[in-house]
Amino acid sequence: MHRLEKTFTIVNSLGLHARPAAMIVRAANKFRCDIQFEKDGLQINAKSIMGVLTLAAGKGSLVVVVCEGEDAEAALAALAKVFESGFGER
Amino acid sequence: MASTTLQGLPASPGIAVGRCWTVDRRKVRTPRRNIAAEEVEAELSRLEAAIELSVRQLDGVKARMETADGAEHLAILEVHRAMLRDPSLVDESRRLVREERVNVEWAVKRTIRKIKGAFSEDDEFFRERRSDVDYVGERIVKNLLGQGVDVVETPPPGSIVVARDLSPADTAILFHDRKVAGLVTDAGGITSHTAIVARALEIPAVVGAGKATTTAERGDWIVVDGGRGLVVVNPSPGERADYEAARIRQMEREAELARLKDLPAETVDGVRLRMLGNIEFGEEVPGLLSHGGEGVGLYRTEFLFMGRTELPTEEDHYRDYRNILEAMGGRPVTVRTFDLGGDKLPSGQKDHSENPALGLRAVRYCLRHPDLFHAQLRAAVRAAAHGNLRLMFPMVSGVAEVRAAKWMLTEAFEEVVAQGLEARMPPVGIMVELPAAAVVADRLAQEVDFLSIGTNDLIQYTIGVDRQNKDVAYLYKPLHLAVLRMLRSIADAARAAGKTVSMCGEMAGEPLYTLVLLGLGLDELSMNGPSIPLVKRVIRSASAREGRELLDRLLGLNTADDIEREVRAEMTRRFPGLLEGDAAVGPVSG
Repeated sequence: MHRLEKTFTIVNSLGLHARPAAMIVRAANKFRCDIQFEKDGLQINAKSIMGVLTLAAGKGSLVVVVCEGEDAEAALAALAKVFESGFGER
Repeated sequence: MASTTLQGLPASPGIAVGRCWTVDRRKVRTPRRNIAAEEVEAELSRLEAAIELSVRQLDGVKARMETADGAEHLAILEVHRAMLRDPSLVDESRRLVREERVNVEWAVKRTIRKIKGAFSEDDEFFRERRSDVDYVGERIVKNLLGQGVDVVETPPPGSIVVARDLSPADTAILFHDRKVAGLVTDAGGITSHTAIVARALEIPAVVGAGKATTTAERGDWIVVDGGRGLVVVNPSPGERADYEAARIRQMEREAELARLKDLPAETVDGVRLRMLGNIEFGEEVPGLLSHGGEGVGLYRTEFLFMGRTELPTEEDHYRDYRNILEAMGGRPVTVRTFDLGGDKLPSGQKDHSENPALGLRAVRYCLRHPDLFHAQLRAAVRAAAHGNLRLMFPMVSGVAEVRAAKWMLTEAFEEVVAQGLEARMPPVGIMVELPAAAVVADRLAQEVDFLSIGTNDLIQYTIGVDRQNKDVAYLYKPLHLAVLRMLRSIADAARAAGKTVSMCGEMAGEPLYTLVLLGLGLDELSMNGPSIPLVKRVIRSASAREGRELLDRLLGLNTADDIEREVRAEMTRRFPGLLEGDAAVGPVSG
């Protein structure tokens, strides 16, 4: 089983607020693998917007992304794009 | 009919006068019943169908709205759409139907309650998410019950929309053509989605007005005073005319302030000041420029530390400063080195000392943690090669500290240059915010290129009063004679040394004090962007001479109250309407 892990920093000033959370969930749901986010000991399902929102990740916080499954590589690459774009914000 | 005035929360400034258009949004009652084993599958397919229908409804609202601009505000509908299909909602609802044999409406209601439990009520962000979850649950339940979900009628142009509460979808439908004149809701806070959209679209709005829906009926005249949070239902013809006149005055005033944007902050006797902005994030730059900011007078770099677990690296700083310098296009950007310590420490650390305000803070903290300071100074000299960067040290208490900080700056500069990196030695200044620094300002001015007065701390330390302490907060007086004398001696010292003197505390952005500050002979004022136009207006219609005369008079008085009374009287006489007019357009400083 393929398991990949990478840490991302939230770079936009508003943090992981509602709109970016929707972007992430949309991206995550395109893949079959299991995708979990971890922040400060809290672990959530990245395919659930409710879960992503409970992270309340502000600017500068670190989110560990864990993808597990066949298409883990592609999923991580897609999520990296979303994180690194700062969700299209500054 | 007598008029009724309701006090709510000021959600979006401006005055609107129009006819009431009530929007009925009844809360749904969720029935509960137990179901038989053979009903389970049917219930689950009802859930599936209701979710499908809900998704289609939101898509429909979005499609209708996307033709209008303001599509930005539709992002929340995307969030609701994602919530509709959220596994935590769908799976848990299905489980309840299967295992507890309850009808699906009740299963959804219980699941929504459970999900809301994960969002704390104390946090503003989470409060908003709780109401998002509610709207989503309500939509599903209403669809299950076959009730109407969205507002269907569009109000006539110029209406004042009055509702108990509005969902983001309702808000989108009602506001998309921007023909609604004003908005009043019984519920909600000033950070609710509705309030945010109203501010973005500049529609006067009052939220949390309590019983607007039961007080006003469709067709009633209503006045919305969004700046004060007031709603007048059935105003008398006189009241209506007064508000109508106030609305026109306010529009003229805004137009006038907008015209000021590109005009210099110059007094009638030819004294030119530079209007700068206080910022915390690079994102504030466009707003600052749009208000006519001529530079950044205070960039609070410690915000790079907030909400992160690792210390920012030199590269983080460098990128950040460079972005701001470039966005400011050659205008000065004053980077204040970390004002950490006391109540502001990198996350995970805490100052447990008895008296943090007098403890290891700001430049003291930096000198104690040379690695952290060194990285910031390296980033600053590198970024300085890309724009007009000025460096400022906070909380300096005397000459020795300035020399130590400058020595570290030179060291960082030489190191960067030796590595062959692009760098420039920036102008250096200090914050004068300790009485000690104020008293030796003449000596400090010899060591640096500029002085910047931080009034908030200076007042606090001079009078020895903690503004957060309710028992003594009344003593916090910007116009205390000791403060005025100190301000004057700082300004005089800087001038005698031929150095620039600025002010970057709250006092700078408060028009009540502008004439006094002109009297001091300051070169630069730094404030929040939105405060610039009003302060500039005072400067442009005043003379530095009358400022000096006022200051001389004030220095002859004894108590802070006498001084403040004198300033108020003078400002009211010279600028009628300036002080009380502010309330109608929201706070002028913040």
